[in-house]
Order: sequence, then C-alpha cells, then structure tokens
Amino acid sequence: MATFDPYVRKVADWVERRVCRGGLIREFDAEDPGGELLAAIPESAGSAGGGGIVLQRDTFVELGSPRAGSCAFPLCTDDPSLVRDGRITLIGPGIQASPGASLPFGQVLLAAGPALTDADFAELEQAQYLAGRIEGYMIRSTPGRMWSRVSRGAAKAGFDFELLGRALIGSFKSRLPGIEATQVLFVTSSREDLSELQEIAEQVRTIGRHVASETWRARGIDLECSLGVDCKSCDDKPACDDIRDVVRIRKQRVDA
Amino acid sequence: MPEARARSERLVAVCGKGGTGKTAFTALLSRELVASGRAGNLLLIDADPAMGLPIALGIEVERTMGQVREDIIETARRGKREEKVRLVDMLDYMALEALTERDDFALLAMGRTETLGCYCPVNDLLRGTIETLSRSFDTILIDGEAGLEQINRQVMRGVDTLMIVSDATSRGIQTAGLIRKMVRDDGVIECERLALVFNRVQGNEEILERAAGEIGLEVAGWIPHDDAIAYHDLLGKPLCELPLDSPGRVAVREIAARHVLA
Repeated sequence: MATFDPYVRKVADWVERRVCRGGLIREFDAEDPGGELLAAIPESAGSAGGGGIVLQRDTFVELGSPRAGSCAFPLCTDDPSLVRDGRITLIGPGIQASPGASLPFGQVLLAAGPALTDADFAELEQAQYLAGRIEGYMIRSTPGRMWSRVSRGAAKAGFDFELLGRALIGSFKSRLPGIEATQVLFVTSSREDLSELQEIAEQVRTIGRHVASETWRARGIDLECSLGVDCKSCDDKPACDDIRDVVRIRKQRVDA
Repeated sequence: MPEARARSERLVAVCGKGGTGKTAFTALLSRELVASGRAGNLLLIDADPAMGLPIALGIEVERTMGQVREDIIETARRGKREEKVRLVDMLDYMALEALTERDDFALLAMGRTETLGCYCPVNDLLRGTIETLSRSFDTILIDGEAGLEQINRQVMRGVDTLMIVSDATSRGIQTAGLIRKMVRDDGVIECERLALVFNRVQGNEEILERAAGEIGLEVAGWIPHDDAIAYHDLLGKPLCELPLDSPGRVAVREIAARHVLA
C-alpha cells in the first residue's frame, strides 16, 4: 500500500523546510509508544464521554476556530521507515503559553504498519478527532477541519500538546492494532503555515474519498447513489398523502 | 468540560401575540437572570424568524440555525451518500458555529428558512442537535413566536415554564387563551407551568386579572408602561442599557425571582 506515501514524504519535507526557516519548533518523543498512553493524561483531564461543550468563558485556549483556520488529516503507509514512532512535533506556540488565545490549528497524524491497507484510511479519519474522549478538550469537526477548545481546568491540570499527542498515538494504536509506528504533527504558528498544509490536505482528501468509494464498492455498496429523505418511514405519511390529495383537488377546482 | 447532562435545570419559553413586547421581555429577563448570579450558564434561543432578540441585546449574529438547515437540505439534494453520512459528524460543528458567545450568556438564533417545504427529518435532526448543545447550559430561555409549533418542531419538545406575554388588549388576552388551549388541550408542546405576563400596563390590573382568570391563566407579573423601554426600542438601543431602577427592569426582576429562579 503506497497510495499515501508521496504525501507522507510531502509532509516530512514541509516540516523540514519549516525547521530550516526557524521559529518556535519543539519535538517530543513518547517514551512508551506501545503502552497505555491515554493513562498518561492527568486524572482531572481524563477520559469523559458526552457531547458537552467548553464555553468561551471557560476556555483557556481555542484552536482552529472558523476565523483562525484549521486543517486536520491522517496519513497511512505500510512502510514503517517513513514514520518515526512516538515523535510529536509542535510548530508554533503551545497550550500553556497561550492563555486566552485563539490559534490556527493543524493536526496531521501519520500511521505505519506492514499490515495496513487503503481500507484503514477511513478508520484513521474517524480516530483522528478523539471526540469526547478527554475531559476539558472539546472537539467539533467537519471533514478536514477541526475546531477545539481547551478548558481552563484541563490547562490547569497540565494538558498540553505532548499529552494530546500521546493520547492520539494511544488511540490510534488501540483502534488499529496493525499500526506499528505513529507520529503526530501539530501546527499553531500561522495561517500561512496552515495554508501550505491545507494544499496537501486537499490532495489527501480527494484520494481518501476515492479510496472510500472503492472500499465500499468492493463491499457491494455504491456511495455515489442517491439517498433521499425516506417518507416511507414517517408515521404521518397517510395524513400528508390525504392533505396532498386535498391540495390537488383544490388546485383542479381553481384551475377549472 | 462539564459532562453533558440529561437536560438543563431551567427551560423557559416566552410566547404571545405579535407586538406585545415578547422580545423586550425576553431580553430584560435574560439580563436579570445574569444579574442574579443564579442562572449558571445561560443559553438564549431566538426562535422568532424576525430575530429581534440580538438587536434588543445589542449583539450581532453571524450565522443562524436557519442557515445550517439550508446547508443540510442542500447537501441532501446533492444526493451523495458519502456527504450525507459526513453530515452526522458536521452537525455539532455547525451548531457551535451558529452559537454567539458572550462572557455571561450564549445566543442561538434560529433565523429564517428560505427553502419551502416541511422537511420534518431536518427539523428532527436540528432539534436533536440543539437539545444536545443545550445540555451544556443550566438555564435556557427561548424567545418564540405567537404559535408554539415552531418551538416544538425546531427547538425543543418541551419546556418547564411557558411565559405568555400579553398587552392590555382583548386581542392579546385572546391569543393568550388560544396558547393555553394549544398547550393544555392540544398538547402542542410539553409544559409544566403556564404563566401570563401583562406588559405595558397602565392601571387596569383588576380588569386584566379577571380576564386572565376567565381564560384559566394565573398572572405571573405586571410590567408597567415604561417610557425608557419605548425610547430604547425607538432608537434601536440595546435594552441592557436601561437603568437598573427603570420600572420595567424592576418588574421583570421580580418575575425572574418568583417564576424562573424560585
């Protein structure tokens, strides 16, 4: 499976260029990439369910709001040499250094394993958001965009990109056991940096759609087919049909 | 992130005949709830397509749930199954985008809907999304239209308290009576308590109280005619700029204490 390999390399090249340009860049290595990384998160910022939101007034830092811009995508390859396992890279300011800020946000997740196939890409797309999993870290997403807020409580408990990266690595590995290596890139530096990444994201998304379409076609389902609103499942359909008849009769009388 | 609750502590909707001052009342009530310090996280929902509440509060709304609705219908019409499946993930994002947040409250404006047609499934989808969003709030205050169907169809299936605003006219009282019938007899919306608020009252309390009794409604409060409110309305000035001791604010404060926060 080498479908996404050129894009894994493009991201690596982009990071290298960005490193050459200088600026605020930090790298962390998850010490135990194969272990229970979610457990590394402080208890008060631990796992939580539900669809609650972090309100603006309770927000320590906002990432990737529609105004600030965002970009999120995963990449997978069957060549583990392309991915540095456990590496978390942050380009731009971190969470603890940005109280009250609304930062642009890019998140790229790279996963590698000899057993990974194109079909795993859709699973990775779902896994990349960690929605509702971390207390105090709210995520709202649309395809390719990710808007998140870190609560004051979570920030106080020490939540930062290193912890988020660890959680993502742990989540990826637990969701897809075929993954041998995972790397995470966070970008909060500028909208310009983000737009360069967005070009890669758009290409990946186009391929991802094609991959999903082919995967489902192989399972006998055509994603391109039309799926209209199903009136047959509505209890009020007989009443609506009667009213439509009345409308039709009235129209006939008016037109006569 | 506060874990999502099953539902909010207080759910209040305001309705009544057009022109009786529902929106001004809702705006003032929201200010009093905030000032009380007991409302917790407050969500205001402007369910009136005229969208007067943001103006009364002096805030700008960039995106409405009506626009979200349009996006959903447009996506459904394009007919790609994949896009429709993605809609499920996108709804919460779009709802948050439509939420206007301030330090002491948040506002969700339903706005107008351009697309003709019932689209019941879309309404169900949006109502579910709003209900999920609203679980993060302690108090929800809805500014509705005269009719209750829109609240029921697009916002919430039920409320704790329905406040009917009437002016001192027979038409206002008649509408209040109709709303009571819609709730109690026709079950248009689930509602635990009904309360009638008379607005712009100029000394006819006895007659109005009798009229309220005849339509089976308890009077929750009297808001006197207040020149300052009329002046602010005329100039389009936010009602939150009204002096704290203006007669209108004092009356609404009492209603908030007795019928919302009690």
